Amino acid sequence: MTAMDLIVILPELILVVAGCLALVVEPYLKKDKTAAVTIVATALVASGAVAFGLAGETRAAFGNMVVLNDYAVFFKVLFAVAGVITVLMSPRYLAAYDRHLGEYYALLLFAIVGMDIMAAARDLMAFYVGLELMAVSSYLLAGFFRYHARSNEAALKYFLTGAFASAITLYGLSLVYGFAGATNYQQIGQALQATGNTTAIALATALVVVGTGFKVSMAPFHMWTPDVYQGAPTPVAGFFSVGPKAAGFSAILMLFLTVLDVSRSTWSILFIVLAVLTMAVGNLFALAQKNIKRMLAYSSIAHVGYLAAGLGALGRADDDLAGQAILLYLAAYTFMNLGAFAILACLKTQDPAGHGYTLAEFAGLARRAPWAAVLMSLFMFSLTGIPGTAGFIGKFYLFNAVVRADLAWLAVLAVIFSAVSAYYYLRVIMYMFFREPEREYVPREAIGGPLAAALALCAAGVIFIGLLPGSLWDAAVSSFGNFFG
Amino acid sequence: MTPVLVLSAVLFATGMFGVLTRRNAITLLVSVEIMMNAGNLNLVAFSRLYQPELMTGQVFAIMGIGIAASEAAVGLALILTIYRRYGSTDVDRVRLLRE
Repeated sequence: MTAMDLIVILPELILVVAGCLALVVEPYLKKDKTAAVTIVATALVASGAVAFGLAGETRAAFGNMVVLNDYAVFFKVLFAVAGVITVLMSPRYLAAYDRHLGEYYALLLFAIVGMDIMAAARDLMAFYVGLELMAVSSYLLAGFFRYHARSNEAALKYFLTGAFASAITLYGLSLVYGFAGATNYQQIGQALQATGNTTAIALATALVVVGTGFKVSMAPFHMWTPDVYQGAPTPVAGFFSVGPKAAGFSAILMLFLTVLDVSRSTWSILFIVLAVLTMAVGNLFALAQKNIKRMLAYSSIAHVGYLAAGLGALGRADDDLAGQAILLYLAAYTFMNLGAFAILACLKTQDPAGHGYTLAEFAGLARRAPWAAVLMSLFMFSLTGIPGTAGFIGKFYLFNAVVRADLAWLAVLAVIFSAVSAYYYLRVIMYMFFREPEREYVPREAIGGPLAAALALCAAGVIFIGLLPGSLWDAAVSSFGNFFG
Repeated sequence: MTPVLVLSAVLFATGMFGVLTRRNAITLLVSVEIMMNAGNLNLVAFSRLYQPELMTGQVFAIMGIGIAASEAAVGLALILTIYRRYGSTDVDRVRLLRE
């Protein structure tokens, strides 16, 4: 190990130090946790800025365990942004439940460190450790309101399914190691290339697809998602819907492009089947939801379906266009989905005892809280994929890549399901603007402070990507250069 | 070599069977641990087969054991909160979250 190796993991080092600092500072803080929030938010900004500053560099560190390249940088910046938005969303919400503690921020930072490692890992060991660091921190975050039955239940369900998925992944990885005799991505890729695509390798591929599919909630491995999102604290649920999902895709792309390149035909077909199933399950179940938090959970499954279609296309194409489109989509999705959850957190904070996230409670919101209604509409339009928003750009590039891979039928199916999704997204807007409320609501003070900043960041991201996607697309394209550094 | 792989496959299948059929959270946790150990056993066996001098798989298995332990710690803590609330660890009794 040299000092240069430490630069490669500098963004993670900052987060680890800040996470420990938040834990140390916590006992000295009374009711006011501003110091902890400041430390954590600063660390996330610093981590993102350092990662951004390292763009263009390519090098490997720690015996080729982790690399620094534009691919890793893209995800590290994305995770830092998602982390900042989540942190800004949290203080008022946690305080409303009297659970505003420093551990929350430490766990969030450790989860982000795990996600960073997943994106930068080029060795099965590093990947597995990053995955578990993210997962174990996430279980605790889901159960953070430990005096609330729903939070307990969400954590238990997340833990049991997550550990099951980890075990399947580990078994699949052990088989991959067995066939290749190495744990380094590049060495495995070369070793498997020599043996060719055998039945045994196809089995290992299927196990890894199932294990990682659980993590990013592809159907039929999605059952835990709605329950976990509904029961977990809202900022945490928002974070789960973007962070671990994007991290899962970052690792899936690397695993299947480099390690299991030899079984392209196998995983491509598996992902196409899963994509069709996931789009159908996500969109059709979302139609029936009366609870907005559950609806957003099923909608997140639907979006994973579109991304899985991209993975299927990637396996069939000669270029990396679909992979680049997946990166762009993940970035667009981060802003719009976190924005929608931030609105939910905002409404819940105003009325912790009464608000139940039901559709009926959104009736007449435009008159009670015009800003929240306008922003929620923006995020719903973006999730639908209306031109001018980030969601449209993401879908445009992604479906275009799917068509280019000779999977026009899959792209058509995805567009049809997007049209279905318009029903449940636009229904929220209809309720907010055109429905009379069923009961009287006490006027609440408008939400300001960090939560407003989080909303502003999300809205700015959605509009910016929607109107000027050029720079982000360039970043996504340059991510697919040299994977090994 | 083959007997070890068969053993690990049997362990994996046993764990999988347990996860799919049992409803007690502790039994589920134990089943998942059995599945993880199937993976660890594979890693050690393959390491001995390919590169007894390199120990890559052995190190991986140690990592896997450490991670499984941390996961068990967190899992038992979560199961404890459920037990305190419901007086049982039966996952079918824990079902507040639904439509």
